[in-house]
Amino acid sequence: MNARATATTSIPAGGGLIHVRVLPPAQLTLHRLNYAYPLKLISPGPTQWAKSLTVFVLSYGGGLVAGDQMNLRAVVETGGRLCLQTQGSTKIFKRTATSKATAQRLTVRIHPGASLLLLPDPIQPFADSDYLQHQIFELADTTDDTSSLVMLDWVTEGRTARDENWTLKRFESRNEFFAVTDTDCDDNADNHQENKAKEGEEGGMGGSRGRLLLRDAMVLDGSDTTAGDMLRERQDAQTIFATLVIRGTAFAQLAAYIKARYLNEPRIGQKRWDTDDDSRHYTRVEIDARRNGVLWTTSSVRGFLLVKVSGVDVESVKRFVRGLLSEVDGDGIPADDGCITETFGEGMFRCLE
Amino acid sequence: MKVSNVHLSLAGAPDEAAAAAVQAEIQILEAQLAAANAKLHILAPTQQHPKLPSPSPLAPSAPSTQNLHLWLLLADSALPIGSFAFSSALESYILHHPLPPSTPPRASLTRFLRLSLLSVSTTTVPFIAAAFRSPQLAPQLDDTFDATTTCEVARRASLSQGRALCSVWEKSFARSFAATSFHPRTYNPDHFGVAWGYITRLTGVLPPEDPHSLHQVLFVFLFNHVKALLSAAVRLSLVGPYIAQQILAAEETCELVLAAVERGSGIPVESAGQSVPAMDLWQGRHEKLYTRIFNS
Repeated sequence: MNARATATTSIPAGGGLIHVRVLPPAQLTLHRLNYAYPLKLISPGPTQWAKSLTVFVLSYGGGLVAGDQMNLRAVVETGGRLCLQTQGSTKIFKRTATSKATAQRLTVRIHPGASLLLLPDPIQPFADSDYLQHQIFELADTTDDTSSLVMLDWVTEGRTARDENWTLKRFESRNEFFAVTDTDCDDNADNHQENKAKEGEEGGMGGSRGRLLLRDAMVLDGSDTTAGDMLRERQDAQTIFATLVIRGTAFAQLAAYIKARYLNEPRIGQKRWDTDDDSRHYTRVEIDARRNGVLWTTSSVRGFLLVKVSGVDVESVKRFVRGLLSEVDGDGIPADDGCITETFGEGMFRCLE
Repeated sequence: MKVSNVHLSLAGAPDEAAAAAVQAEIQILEAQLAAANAKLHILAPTQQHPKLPSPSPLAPSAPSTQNLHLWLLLADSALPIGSFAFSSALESYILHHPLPPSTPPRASLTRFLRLSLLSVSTTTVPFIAAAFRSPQLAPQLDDTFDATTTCEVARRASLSQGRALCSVWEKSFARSFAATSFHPRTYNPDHFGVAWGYITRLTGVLPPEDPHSLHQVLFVFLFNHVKALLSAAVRLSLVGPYIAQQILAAEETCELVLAAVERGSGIPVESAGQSVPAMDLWQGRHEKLYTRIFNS
């Protein structure tokens, strides 16, 4: 393994850097892999023939306490394929009177012909937690759409066993996608780290980062009860909300599969006809989703495919999302030529099992 | 605050400065009266106020009536922007929450009203406020709002009403406000919220430095939203027209709208986001309804 996996002191606390580079003829390498406490990055040594590199993003103790500030930067160079995963749900502990909020920032630059899979376990905000997650994806090629990504962002109600039911203080998750031009494309990741400080929190109106293509933001405010509803009532008995964002030629087949599946979804109506308007019986997958209260919708917006899924049961939603990403047929059998397994290899769905 | 400032200047400064301060005070009070008038007319249209609009509402000497005139135009349910075609996810919500036949659907409707106002206040209202405050940024705001509105059904509804509002402004209202409209109209926003903030600012009858102007802009937008929802509820046979008016006139509804104005105007556009994630699901799934009356 030729990656420099070091925990150096030059990185600020909670900071991290992943740089994926392709060495000729076609060997994927971790050019850089640096991190500082409380962030921890682990990469199983890639074999010479690996289709993709996997990095596990971890925190010590399996959760984030109040005041933890994670800041991970990743660069995937042309031809590179990076999969970011976690090992278990990210627990967000409660914010104490004297501490700051918990924050996780992730910035990924995806060069032309590179792809990213971001498939973490769900975020699990405990009672009275205060969490901000800000993920920025910089797409270098949006003309031919060869900067590809699949991003999953999901959150659950908390510790169900302790009767936590959206009792968090605040939860904010922003996923922003920018089109960056080639001139911004700087291969030196160290410079990015420095530039980041200058860029600061600005980036709402475009600015130095390039054009904002898409912003998916969820803001849950547990303290806002002006309308007389608690947050748990506003969540409408759902225990999990998931968002998938897909873009790029590498995942065109997956996007087409999901669109077609949504198009064929049985219609919703008070009358439950045995067969719907195509005189078609429900498939096993559809019956399973309906019985377990899985709701989903897709939306094609500005070159992206967005999928929103919610449900009353976390396991059913996981099964459903895994089904979407592995392109299952009506009986729930994953496709042999599933887009993600074809391009990234086996083992990409650990967080969905 | 203001009053004490006036007293201070009376004590120490020459009469001229004092007079100027009092005059400024009068201007603020007049603007407040105008705002209160407009609000009263929206809240209780039947109740006659002593200060009726003068026969020539556009006379430059009567800024308050001109302001009222604008709100009567924009709060008119006959405004041809097609709001009647949209239920803002109510239709889908009702189908996702089937009620037992004996339960009156009113509680379900008012719950949806609360959720909808909360959602709009954290997604759209920040953009209305920004477009009103900085009309020169309208093109960027429009693009950012477009990037932020990730639900296909919601964006169609927003685009349709936004473009229609711009057409109404251009074809019908612009010439009437030619005397006051100070900002050269160089851009037609596509999205409803951005267009609302931009065009109300364009009219020139709402002084941007007066905090009541923005308050009115947001209040009327959200009140129109409630009206459109209730009108949809009547057509979905959830409530009758009398109950709908009862809800519209209720104090709680007014408080909800005011809370939404308050919440939304304090959020910068960078921090806007969906506060009712279930809304995106209901709204998106509207397309999958077996039968539907509305476009959203």
